[in-house]
Amino acid sequence: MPTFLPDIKAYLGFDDHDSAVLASLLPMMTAHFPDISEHFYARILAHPGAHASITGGEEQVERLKRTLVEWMESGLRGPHDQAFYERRARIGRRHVTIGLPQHYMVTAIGVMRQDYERVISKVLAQDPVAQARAMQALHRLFDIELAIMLQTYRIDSEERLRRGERLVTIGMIAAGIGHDLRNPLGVIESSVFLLRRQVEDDRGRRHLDKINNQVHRCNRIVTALLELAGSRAPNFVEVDANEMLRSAMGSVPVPDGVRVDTDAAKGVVMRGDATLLEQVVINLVTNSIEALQNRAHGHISVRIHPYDSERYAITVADDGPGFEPELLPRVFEPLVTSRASGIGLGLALVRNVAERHCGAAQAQNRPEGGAIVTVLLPSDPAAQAARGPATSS
Amino acid sequence: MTPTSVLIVDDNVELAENLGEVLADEGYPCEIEATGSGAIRRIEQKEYGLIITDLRMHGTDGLAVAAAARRRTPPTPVVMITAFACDPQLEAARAVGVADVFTKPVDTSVLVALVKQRISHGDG
Ligand code: HEM
Repeated sequence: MPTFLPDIKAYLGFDDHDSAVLASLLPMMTAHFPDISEHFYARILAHPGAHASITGGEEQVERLKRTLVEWMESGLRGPHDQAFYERRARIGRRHVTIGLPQHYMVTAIGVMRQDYERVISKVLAQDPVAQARAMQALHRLFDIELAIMLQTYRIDSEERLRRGERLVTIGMIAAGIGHDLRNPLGVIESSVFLLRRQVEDDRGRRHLDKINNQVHRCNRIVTALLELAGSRAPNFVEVDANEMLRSAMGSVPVPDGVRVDTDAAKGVVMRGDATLLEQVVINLVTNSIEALQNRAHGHISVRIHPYDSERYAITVADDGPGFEPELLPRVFEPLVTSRASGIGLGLALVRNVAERHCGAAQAQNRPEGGAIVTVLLPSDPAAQAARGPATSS
Repeated sequence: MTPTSVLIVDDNVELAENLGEVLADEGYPCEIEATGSGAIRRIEQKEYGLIITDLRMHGTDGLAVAAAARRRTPPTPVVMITAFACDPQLEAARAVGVADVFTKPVDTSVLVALVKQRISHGDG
């Protein structure tokens, strides 16, 4: 958005003179940058919520400290032009993709602002006029920095919205087609039923059976489409975990070289919609199989076990490449996929089903490699619904 | 004397005709009606053994048909069929006394079995 920076500069009254003042600060500030950077990350690491976004340990923190020093240098040096804006927006997007909550950006800029103020009041202690002018330029710069950061978050949420709208549209089309196909399928089915009474020879009957089988198959596809469109209310019943796993695995073709272990702990009481829960297992296992595609051997483990006194968990783990770290916070969003094939509805449906059961879905990469998805479900969804839904992460 | 004729109401006439043919083969005389208002007129004039109606139809819907069936003494039993599994109107259907509600797809053999259950065979 080329008009964004000029617009915000005009609003703040940031001009070339501010750029010049900031550039003149650079030689005085440089020596303090490592300390400011140190303090900046110490604050992040001290805060559990912010710390959680740092997944690469010590090494990543050291690298980040160096990039932050560069960030500080380039901020003062300028020029504060379109190229500057684009570089800053790119950095902002990086934080959006790692799933850093937006409010940390506001506080982080605040921490940095205070450190700059402290240093400026020290290095310009002798010249109150220059100090005041420097502070003014500095605050304007940081307001610009924050505005750019928040702008990237806004663009991101708009994209999510568009994706959501696309999905709703797809869902509506799918539901429409599904319903429209039901009637012709019904006519075919009943016509076959009638014909079967007339046709005497085996060959003719064999073909009628084939038509009938395919009609049933079409009906199952329509049901799955309507399921995806979410147009069906869940039907909560007591579900036998072993039976559910058996039935789900019966619908997933497992390629040679991939081993799937299933295990349901004794005593897990599952109340839920049997068809939807089965679909969760099918989608997760299918995902794992696709992740293992280019490997000679792979192992997938499907478990159903108690989680705490009120919930049980369905976990599907594989020893594939795991999720792409950038995508990890967003894998459950519709139309988010790293694969060329598939349109990214599988995990979206998993979360959708979890939420319709007042449960939640979580995706992680395992420390030993591979991906693990956990679907936490209340033992009694109806009671849970009365208390209010859980959130997905 | 229990009436054995069946009224089939569906704006998809081919579907209704097929079902009628199947039931006729089983010994149940059938009448086909493509609109809800037409069905209500018939119900008011004649006693059927069973009414099979689609829920969603243009104009007068299956609920109105079921209500007309209920106004008769004794009420005529109704089987309702809908394409929408969680149709909020299903509740309304139960409220007007519809005991059998089916979601599409409905296997013809299942319907035949149900009709046999609902209409005890005998004189016609
Ligand atoms: C004033 C606020 C901040 C500034 C100026 C800043 C600056 C930067 C810069 C320059 C990068 C490198 C981007 C790239 O080129 O890929 C980066 C990445 C990153 N920042 Fe920040 N950051 C800020 C706030 C935060 C906060 C509050 C966190 C909290 C955890 C954080 C965590 C990270 C992480 C995890 C990365 C990704 C590093 C990687 O690629 O390995 N940042 N940040």
